[in-house]
Amino acid sequence: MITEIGNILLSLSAALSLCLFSFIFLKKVINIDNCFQFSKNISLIILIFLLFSFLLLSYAFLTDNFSLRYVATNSNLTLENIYKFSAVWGAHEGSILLWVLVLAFWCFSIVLFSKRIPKKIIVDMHAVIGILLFFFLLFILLTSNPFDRIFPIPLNGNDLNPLLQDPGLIIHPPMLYLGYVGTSVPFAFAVAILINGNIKLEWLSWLRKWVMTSWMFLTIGISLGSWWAYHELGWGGWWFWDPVENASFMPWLAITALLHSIIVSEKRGIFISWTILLSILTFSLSLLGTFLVRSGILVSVHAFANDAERGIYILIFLAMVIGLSLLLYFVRSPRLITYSNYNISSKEFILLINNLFLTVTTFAILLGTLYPLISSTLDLGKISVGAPYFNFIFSALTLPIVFLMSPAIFSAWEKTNYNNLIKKLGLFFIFSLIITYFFLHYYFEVENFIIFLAIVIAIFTILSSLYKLSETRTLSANLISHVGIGILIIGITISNYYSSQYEIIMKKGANIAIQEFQIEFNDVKNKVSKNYTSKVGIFDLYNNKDYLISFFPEKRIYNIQKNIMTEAAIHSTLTRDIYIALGEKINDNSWVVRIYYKPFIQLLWLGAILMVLGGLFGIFSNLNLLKKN
Amino acid sequence: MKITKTNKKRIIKILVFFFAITSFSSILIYALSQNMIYFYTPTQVHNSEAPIDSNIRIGGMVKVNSVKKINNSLKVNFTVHDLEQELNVTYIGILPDLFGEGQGVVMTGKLISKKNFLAEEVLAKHDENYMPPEVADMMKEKNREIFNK
Repeated sequence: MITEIGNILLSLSAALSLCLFSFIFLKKVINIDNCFQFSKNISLIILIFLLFSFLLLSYAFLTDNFSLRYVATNSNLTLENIYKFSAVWGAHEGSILLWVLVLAFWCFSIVLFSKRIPKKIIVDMHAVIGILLFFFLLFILLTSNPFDRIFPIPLNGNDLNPLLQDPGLIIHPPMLYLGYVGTSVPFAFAVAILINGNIKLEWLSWLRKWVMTSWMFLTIGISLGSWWAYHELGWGGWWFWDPVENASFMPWLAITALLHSIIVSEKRGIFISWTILLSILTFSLSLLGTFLVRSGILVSVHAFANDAERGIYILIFLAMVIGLSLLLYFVRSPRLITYSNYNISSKEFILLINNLFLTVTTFAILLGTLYPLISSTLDLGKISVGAPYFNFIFSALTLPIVFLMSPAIFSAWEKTNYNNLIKKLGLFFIFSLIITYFFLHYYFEVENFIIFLAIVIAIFTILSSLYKLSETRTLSANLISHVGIGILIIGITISNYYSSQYEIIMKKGANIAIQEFQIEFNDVKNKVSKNYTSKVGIFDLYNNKDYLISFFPEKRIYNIQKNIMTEAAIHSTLTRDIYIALGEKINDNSWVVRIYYKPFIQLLWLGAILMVLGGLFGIFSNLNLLKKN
Repeated sequence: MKITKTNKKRIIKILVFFFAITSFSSILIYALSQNMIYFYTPTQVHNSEAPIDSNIRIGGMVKVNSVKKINNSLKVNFTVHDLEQELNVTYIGILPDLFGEGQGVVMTGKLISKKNFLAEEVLAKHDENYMPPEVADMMKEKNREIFNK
């Protein structure tokens, strides 16, 4: 029954999506008010249908309905209920269904806040999202249907990949998808504008709210992914420049650029054409990300699907979307009236430089991610691009962007006196130099110029943003987020550069001294859980003979797939993390142990939280603005 | 032609962008060329196609009964093969959870000699039905070659 209902719902949604698309033509024949009403209702019905099919699949998981192939391969009777639910998007079929559901959700949400936008624009935006929905639903029905049956029906399922059995992974994909798919809104807007051939600046402040929303969700999604990698993978790292991480990072960089260019367009009426192009590129990068993750062409933690047919389908779709929208852009964008009159000494010029750097960074990461794929496709040899490339590119291109934040905040639109700016900010810069010197000198030795520079720039950004805050006495999205970025950069730099790592063989009862702490290895005990058994290490942490806390890192063996998983144990304070993971067993008395001491890594998560808060603030202050108008 | 104020500004803008784009692209190309790591099979190493003492990647299957741990240290020796040739590997550190004899691995490191590889990083496959694509491709090709013989 579930298979039939699921398939009917998906097919009906696909048909309705085509209806949604047809209004792009019908609006010329039918009265626009009727068109708008139809389009609104249809998008609501699609959302309800897809939500229902999603709930149906969740129901199948929760009731262990192994007659569905997808449930049988990704769940198990012994799986905890919360993971049975998150397993719905744990693998390919379900995660694409979630993708489509989120797309339908954004599609309907556009209407809810659309009072200031002409109806024909909304109808066109719906049409664009409608055709996207149609192709994705077709993709599900043809190549990755989660409602497919399996015969004979297995008595028990194959279990969810143990890597995914983690709280961080329950909300990471939905948040990431809300962000990823959210970029379809500016994309649809850009296409609608190109089709209609005119744009009003006030529409851009409406669009900015959507861009901000999508940016915020992407930020949450990426941070949660890193947080999960740090806790779950047991290597002490949180970012590996894995192609799939890059796939989510590129849209983030592009949408950050978009967020800044849209502000310039809105305030000054310039760069409109660029804003439109950036909207298209951002969505294209999101689709590319989906292609990279879902085609199985990558070596990655995320690449579970390995099906050429799916890859080709998405690749063709990707080429079509990017090709057609860029074609539309080059044909129609010259019609948009835009002014390109700006002064070199002005806020818009600084934001232009910001966009330039962000675009180049995106391109550099794209190059590093795709080059190995291109090279192996063209038989130029199997190559991988090492993490040093990305680290170098990233620090070389990001530091200027962050450095420019302070002048950008203090400069004025149209005309700024740079001399005054330098006088004002110079003091802060010298102040940051002094703080950094004492800070690094107190905690560590000053060793590396780049590290020093990165911290100076981060502190400079934090100080000047806080000063601006005290000057204007009003919170704003950019100040909160910029302080967040500053804190994030301090966290990244210090934890990467000054962390220490120990891989040692420890006997029971042995001690190791790390910084001012002593860690004692007590014992290893067996633990039996519902769907895994594990060895639990017991470590005690002392600070000069004073007992602080115990660590319980685990080595788990999952019953069904016989996978071994390392669960690290972490003790965090604001200034440092101590991270212990069990390696392998040498004999009954000794184990290989991996210990990390990571100073200030908590600042990374704190910075990310501030950025998200900045985004939230921006979205809601915008809403207030709407009400006043 | 008289250089007007607007023209002067325009020239400055163009020069700045030209300068920015050339410097960006040269940085990118330099960084990329410095950090490309090539992938080789044990057979290619045997045929002296791989450079000694520079960073490369090697993929293959871990030979059964070849993993030897050195007492009281994190040093481990094992052999990888691609059905034709073998290569001895030394690694110091903790092997990944999914490392095992008879399974696929991809390693980054340096060749010390034609017969010995010093691994700095060892990656094992991620789940039961998943193999690193390089190794999967390689094994497929080898199987075909052997079948055709």
